Amino acid sequence: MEMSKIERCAVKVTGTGETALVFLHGYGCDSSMWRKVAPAFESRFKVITYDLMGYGQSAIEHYDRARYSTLDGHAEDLIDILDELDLSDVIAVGHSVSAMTVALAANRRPDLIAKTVMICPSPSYMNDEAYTGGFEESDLLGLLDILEVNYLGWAADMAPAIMGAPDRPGLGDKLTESFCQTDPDIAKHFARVTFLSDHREDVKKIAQPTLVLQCRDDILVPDTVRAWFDANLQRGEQVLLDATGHCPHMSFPEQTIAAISAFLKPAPLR
Amino acid sequence: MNSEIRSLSDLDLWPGGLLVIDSGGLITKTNATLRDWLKQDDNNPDTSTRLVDILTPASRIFFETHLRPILVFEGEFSEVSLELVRRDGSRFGVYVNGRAVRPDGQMTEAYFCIFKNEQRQSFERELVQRRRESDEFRILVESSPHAIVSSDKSFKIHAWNPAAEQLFGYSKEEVLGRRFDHLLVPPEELDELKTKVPDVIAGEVLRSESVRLHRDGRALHVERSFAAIRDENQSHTGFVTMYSDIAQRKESEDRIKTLLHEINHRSKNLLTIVEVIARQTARRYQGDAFLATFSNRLRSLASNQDILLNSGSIHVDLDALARAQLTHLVDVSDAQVNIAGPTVHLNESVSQAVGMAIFELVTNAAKYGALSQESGKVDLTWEITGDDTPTLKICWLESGGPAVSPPTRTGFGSQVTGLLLESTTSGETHHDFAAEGLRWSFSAPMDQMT
Repeated sequence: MEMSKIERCAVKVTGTGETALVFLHGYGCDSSMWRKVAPAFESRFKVITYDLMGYGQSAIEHYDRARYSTLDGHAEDLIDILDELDLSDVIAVGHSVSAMTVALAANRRPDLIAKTVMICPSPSYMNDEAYTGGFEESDLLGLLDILEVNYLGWAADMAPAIMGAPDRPGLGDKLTESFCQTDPDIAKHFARVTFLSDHREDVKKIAQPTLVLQCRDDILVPDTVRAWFDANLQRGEQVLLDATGHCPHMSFPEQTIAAISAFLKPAPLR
Repeated sequence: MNSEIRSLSDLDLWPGGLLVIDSGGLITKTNATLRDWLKQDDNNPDTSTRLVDILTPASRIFFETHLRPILVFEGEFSEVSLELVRRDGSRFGVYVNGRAVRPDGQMTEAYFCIFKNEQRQSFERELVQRRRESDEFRILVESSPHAIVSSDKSFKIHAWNPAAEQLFGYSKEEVLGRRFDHLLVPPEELDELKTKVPDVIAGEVLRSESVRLHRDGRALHVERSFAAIRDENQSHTGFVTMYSDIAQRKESEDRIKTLLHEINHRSKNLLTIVEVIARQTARRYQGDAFLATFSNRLRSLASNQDILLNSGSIHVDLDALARAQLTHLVDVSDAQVNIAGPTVHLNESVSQAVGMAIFELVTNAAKYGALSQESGKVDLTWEITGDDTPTLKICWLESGGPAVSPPTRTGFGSQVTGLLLESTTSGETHHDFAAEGLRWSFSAPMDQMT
């Protein structure tokens, strides 16, 4: 029988509440990145976390390169999951690249997604004439080299044990044994999709209320990108957290929880 | 002498780089070895350098997206390959082990050992390059429009590309490990293959057109090339066979063959008709009058050929088509030929097939049948029957000619009035070689012809 998206993406539903909050992890890791943030919302919200196809405990035999050659494939997964759970007016939280996945899904299904939260997003990492994303194409292609070298098998923490096995038996089992590991080919493929695509137009179209959380000193999101968000969000507010790095939900969970909670607080009654 | 092992005190002598960062990623301590590698000034230390500042942009992304999460949640990583960058922009490759200090689950500090690995890194890059090349080659084979099958020395299949799956109908999983000679080579070719294998191992490439069977039993026309595989030492390790589907080519070759046959037949027919015209014209005209009349009739014959080959319009009127096949035989009076039927318009391919069939009947009648004698008569009539599925029925009836006997052999002419017409129209033809004259009929559903 056809596997549901809920099964394929190892969806976990916790918490209770009228409104649902769904958390999408970013590039390089899996849904366990939310372990310091998601539980804080369980008393007031239905909380959904899942692994992007290709990561964590997702059924990676379903990783179809054509489908996931753009973020649209991941956006469709998000829509399918929310539909399968029979939800509407969801608040979608995406970290890093998944903020763009959330944007795509929000544009496609305004009935499904009521608000979006973007953590350390960038609509495009590559510099062009009128925009400074922070990286030259050669830098981004260099990342593919680094991934490749680290997946050769030297780096015990990075290289899954299954590398090179043609039919990848038991791959899913192996991957779940350790944190943040995935199939090297998928990691490279998703790196391309993440870092070489441009979603500026999609972000401009978001009509839902949007919270953008940024950190000081995030090497993936230079000041110029924060300025771009200020200039281009339709109904958004950008908040600079008292935090550094690219993963405030891991390193500065309190600040992250507080900022999201403030955004979700209902307007005071008069 | 103190036999106790003392604690290390001078980490600057350490033959590897050492580095400490705080929770925000700022570098708080380095040893002299690392500063030396980075060409940093020991006397003028920079207190605001972050770890990411000594990483190349690609390494920064990797650190932030992969390594920092591991440090925060798992506490350590080891043997990760990164690239460091000096102030002057020059780069060098390192291996890094990292460990976080995490009281209460929060990272407060992280320690790193750094090993220079330029030699190993160049080796790694070469491996990466090789892997890319092999990936590219694999993609090439996977994308090839030709079926590619490779086997070991004992013919056991170890590669079977998607084009092979498509052509033969077996999936890769089904055939891996099976013997390709058992699976694909027809029994009658096995002996030949066996005798030629030594030549192939010696370097010969076998190329041939052949027939192979699809999984469902269908015969496939293929072009096959069979060669030996050699490793880098030139030792024979197996065989590679490539198959191209040549069904289309075969079809057009067959079509050309039919056409050539048809042209040959038609040329002979035309010469016969010319002879008939000459004879008939000579009966009534002599001298200059003969030449003028004969030329006119030949021109009319030529234009009749044009109608057949290039009607120029999509729909052709059956009555006009039928009459055009007889115009060159102007001596055939209305009394001799009766053409009658309702108005019917035929599409281009059907009108060609029907026109050719009538021309064939006319030619035969002029050579041997009713039209070879002045007493002979031909009725060419048609009708449409059936309301739900209208059917066109054309009848050709000869009478008053010489006695008819069934042909002793069937040539191309009988195909023109038979199989060829049937296949163009999904219709049926019927020949009755009655002694008093040939009776031919043809019927086909109208919806196939208009």
